Amino acid sequence: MDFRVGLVAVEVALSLLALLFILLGAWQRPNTSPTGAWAVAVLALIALGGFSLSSSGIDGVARSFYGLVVSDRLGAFLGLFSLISGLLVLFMSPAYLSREGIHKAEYYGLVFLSLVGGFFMFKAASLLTLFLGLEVLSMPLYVLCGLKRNFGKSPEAGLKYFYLGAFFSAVMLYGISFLYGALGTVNLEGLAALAISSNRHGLMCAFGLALLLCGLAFKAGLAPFHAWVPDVYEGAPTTITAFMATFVKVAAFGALIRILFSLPPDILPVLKPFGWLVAVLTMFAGNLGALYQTNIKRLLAFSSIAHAGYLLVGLLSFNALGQQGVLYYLLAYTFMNVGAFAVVIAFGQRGEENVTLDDLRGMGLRHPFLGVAMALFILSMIGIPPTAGFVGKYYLFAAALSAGMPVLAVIGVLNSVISLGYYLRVLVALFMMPEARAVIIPPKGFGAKVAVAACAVLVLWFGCFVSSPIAAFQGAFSQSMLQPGTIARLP
Amino acid sequence: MEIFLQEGLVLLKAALWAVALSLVMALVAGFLTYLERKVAGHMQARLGPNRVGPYGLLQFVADGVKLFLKEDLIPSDADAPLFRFGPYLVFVGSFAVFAVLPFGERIVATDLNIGLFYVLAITSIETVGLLMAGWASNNKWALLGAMRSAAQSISYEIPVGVSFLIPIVLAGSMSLQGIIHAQAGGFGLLGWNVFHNPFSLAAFFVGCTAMVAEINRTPFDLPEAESELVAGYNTEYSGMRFAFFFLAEYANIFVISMIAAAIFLGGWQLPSPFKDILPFGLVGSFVLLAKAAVLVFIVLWLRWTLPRVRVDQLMEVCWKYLTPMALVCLMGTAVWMWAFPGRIFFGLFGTA
Amino acid sequence: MYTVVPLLILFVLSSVTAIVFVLANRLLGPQAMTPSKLEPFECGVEVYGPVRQPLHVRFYLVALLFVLFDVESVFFFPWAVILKDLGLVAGVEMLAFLLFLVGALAYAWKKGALEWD
Repeated sequence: MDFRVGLVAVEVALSLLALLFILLGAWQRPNTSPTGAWAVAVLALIALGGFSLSSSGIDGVARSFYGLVVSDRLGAFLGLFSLISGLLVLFMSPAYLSREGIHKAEYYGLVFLSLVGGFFMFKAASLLTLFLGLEVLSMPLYVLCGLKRNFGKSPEAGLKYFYLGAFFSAVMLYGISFLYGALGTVNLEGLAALAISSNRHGLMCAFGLALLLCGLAFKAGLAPFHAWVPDVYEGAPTTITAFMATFVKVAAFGALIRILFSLPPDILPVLKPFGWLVAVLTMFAGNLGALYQTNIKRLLAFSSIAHAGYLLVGLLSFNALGQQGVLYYLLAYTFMNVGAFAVVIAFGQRGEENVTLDDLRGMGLRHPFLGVAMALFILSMIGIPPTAGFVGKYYLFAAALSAGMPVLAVIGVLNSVISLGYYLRVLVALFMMPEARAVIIPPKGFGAKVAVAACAVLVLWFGCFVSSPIAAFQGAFSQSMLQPGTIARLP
Repeated sequence: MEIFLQEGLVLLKAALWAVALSLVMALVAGFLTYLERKVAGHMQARLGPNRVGPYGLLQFVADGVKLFLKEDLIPSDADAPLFRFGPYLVFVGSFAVFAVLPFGERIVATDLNIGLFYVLAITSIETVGLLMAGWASNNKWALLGAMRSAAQSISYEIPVGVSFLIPIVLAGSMSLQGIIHAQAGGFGLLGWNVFHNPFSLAAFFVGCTAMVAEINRTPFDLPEAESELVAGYNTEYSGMRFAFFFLAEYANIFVISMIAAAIFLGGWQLPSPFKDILPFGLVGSFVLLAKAAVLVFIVLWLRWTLPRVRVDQLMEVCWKYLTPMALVCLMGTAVWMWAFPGRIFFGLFGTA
Repeated sequence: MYTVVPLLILFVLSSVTAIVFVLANRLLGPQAMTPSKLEPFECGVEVYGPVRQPLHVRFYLVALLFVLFDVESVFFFPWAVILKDLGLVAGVEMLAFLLFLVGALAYAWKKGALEWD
C-alpha cells in the first residue's frame, strides 16, 4: 500500500487535461470555437478508452493512494463506459454548442473534471474517496447545467440541481460520519463489521447506511429522490443532459455496487425489501410520469428514471446474471440514450429546441437517417430484439427470476408494457403524422451524425453479439475488490 | 488529591497569565497610541504629546480615563444587540492572540502545538466583529467601511497564511516556540528564517506587507479612510466600545510585529554568548521585544510616509502580486528542503 | 488539555474584563440622549435613503475567491508540518496540488475576477 500513481494514470491524465482546457477557456478569444481543444479532448478520450480497455483484463485487485483507491476489473469496465459516454457526448457537442453560442473550452474541462469524479466514485475503496468523487463529479455538472445563461430554464436547472445536490451531499456525508462513528473506519472493508450478528451499534449503523444510500439514490435518480430529474434534464444543455443521463448513472450505480457488495450477507435480507420497494416505485414513477409528457427531453428524463429502476432490479438479485445484466444494461443504456439525445439535438435550431412531440411530426420521413436511428433507440429502450436494450433487460429480469423474485420481474415486464404507451407516441409522431412545421435543417455538424451512427451501430451490435461482452462482464465482479466470498455466500 | 492540586495549579497559572496578558495588552496598546503620536510629531517637525507626565508619557492614561467618561451612545436606528456585541468580538479576538505569543524562551501563556494556525483563525474573528459593528450601526459610512474591511482582511489572509507556511515547513512545527527553536543555527543569526534561503527572505517581506494590510494599517487603511469614510466601521461608536476598536487596532500592530519577529527574525535567538547571564532566558525576551519594537516602529513609520492606496490597487497588490509571490516562495522553500536538506543559505558556503 | 484550558480561561476573563469596562463606562459617563444625537451620522446633513441597500457584487466575488483559496491553503498546513519527514513524494504531491491552485488563480485573473472596477 503506497502511492502507485500508475494505477490512477487515467484520472491524472483527465485532471491535467481538465486544467488545461479550463485555462484555454480563459485565453480563448470571443466568438471563436475551441476546435483544437475539442480535437485534443476527443483524442485523449479515445486514447484513455483504449488504455482502460487494455487494463480491463487485469486480474486481481491493486490499490493506490495508500489504499484509498482500488483498481480492478469492475472499475476498469465502468471507467470504460464513462469514457465511451464522454466520447459520444463530445462528438455531438461542437455543433450544438456553437449553435447555442456557448462553445467554450471550459466546457471540455468541466466534462473531464466530472469524469474524474466519477472514476473516483466507482474506484473508491473508502467512503471518503467515494464522497470526494461524488463532489468532484457534481460540481462541474452544476455549472454545465446552467451553461445556457440566456435561456431561462438552464440556470434554473443548474440552481435546482445545485441546491438539491448540495443537500444530498450533506445527507450522505452525515451518513458516512455515523458509519465512521460506529465502525471506526471509512474503508469499504470495514463495512463488513455492519453484520447484524456482531454489531453493537445497530441503530447508528442503520441510520448511517440509510443516509449513505439515500445520497447515492439521489444521484442515480431513484424514487423517491427522482423529482429533480425531469426539471434538470429539461433545462440543461441537451449534450449535458445526455452526459448526465448516462455517465452519472454509471458512476452512481458503480458506487452503489461497491457499497452493496461490501455489506455483510446477513444485512441483505433486511435491506432487500427496501430495495424492492424503491425499484418498484422508481419504475412506476418513471413510466407513469412519462405518459403525460409532450416534451421529448422530459419524456426521456422520465424514461431514464424508469431505466434506473430496471437497473436496480438487476442489482437486487445479487447473482451473476444480475451483475452481468447491470453492466450490460448500463452500456446499452449509454448507447441508446446518447443516441436519442443526439437525434433530439439534430432536430433543433438555434433558439428553437423543437423538442415537443408535435415538432417531431413527420420528421422520420423527411430525415430518414435520423428517423430510423431514433426508432432504433426507442425500440432498444422498449426492449425489442435485436437491440442491446433487449439483451440487457432480458438479463436483468432473468436475474430477478432466478433470485426468487418473480413478482419484481413481473412488475418490470409490466412497466415495459406501460412504457410502450409513450415510446410508441414518439414513433407515431415521427413516421405516421403529417408534417406540422416548416422544414427543419439538421445541423451541419459532422460529429453529431457520427455520434448517432455510432450509437445506432453499437445498439445493434450489442443486440446481436452478446456472448463475448457477457463473458467479459462475468469476470468483472469475480476479479474485483468486492469481498472475497461474499457473492458466493449470498442467499 | 494530587491531581486536583495539579489541575488547580494549572488553573491558577492560567488565571495569572490572563491578568498579566490583559495588563500587557492594555499597556502595549496604550503606549503605542502615545508612540504613534510621538513618531508622527517628530516626523512632521513637531513635538507630539508632551504635557501629561514626563515627555507626555502618561498621555495614554489620560486618554483612557477620558474614554471612560464619555457617553455610551447607541443610535436609535442601530441593531442594538449586534451593535453591542461587535466590539466585544473585536476585543476578545485581538486579545486571544496574546495567549500564544512567546515573550521569551520559557515565557508563554500556552504554547499551542497549532500556534500559527490558531493565530490565523483567531484574527479572522475580528473581521466578523468589524462586519457586525459596521452593519449594525445602520450608517452608510460604517457599512461601507465594514465591507471594505472584510473584503480586505479576507483577501490578505491568503498571502498571510501562505507566507506563514514557510516557517512551518522549515521548522516542521506550527508551535511558535518550536519555530523559534528551529532557528537556532548559524550563531543565532544566520539561522533565522529570514536568512534561511532566498525564498524565505522574500516570504518575510510578503508576509509583513500582507499582515500590515490585514490589520488595516496605512497605507492599506481604506476601511477607516478618515478623509473619505469619516471613521469607517466605528463612525457611530463612542466611549468604551470605541476604545475596544482602538485598543484592538494598536494591539494588532504589536501582535503582528511579535509574530513576524518570532517566525522570521529568530524570536529570542540572538547572536551572542551572553544568552544565559540572566535567568529564565530574560535576555532572549529583551532581544525578542527589541526585534518586535523595530518592526513596530517600521509600521508606524509607514503610516507617516506613504499615502493611502486606492481600493483597486489594494486588491491588485493582494491577488496579483502577494498571493502568487507567496505561492512561489512556498514552492521554492519546498524545493530547497529537498535540494539542501537541513542546510541554510549561508551554510552552503562555509561551515555555519 | 493543559494547553487548551488556559485558552478557555483567557477567553472568559477577557470577556468579563470587556463587559466590566463597558459597565464602568455606563456608570461614569453622562447619559443625556437627544433625538439628534441618536440619528445616524451623515456629516450633519439630514439622513436620506435607506442604508441597507444591496452591495456591489464584487464583494461577493472576493468572498468566493477567499473561500476557495483559504480552504485550499488550509490543506497546506498539515502537509507543511510533516514535509520534513515525508520527503520527495509529499513534495511532489503538493506541488501537483499547487499547480491546480495556481491554475485556478490564473483562470480567475484572466477572467477578470481580480479586477476591482
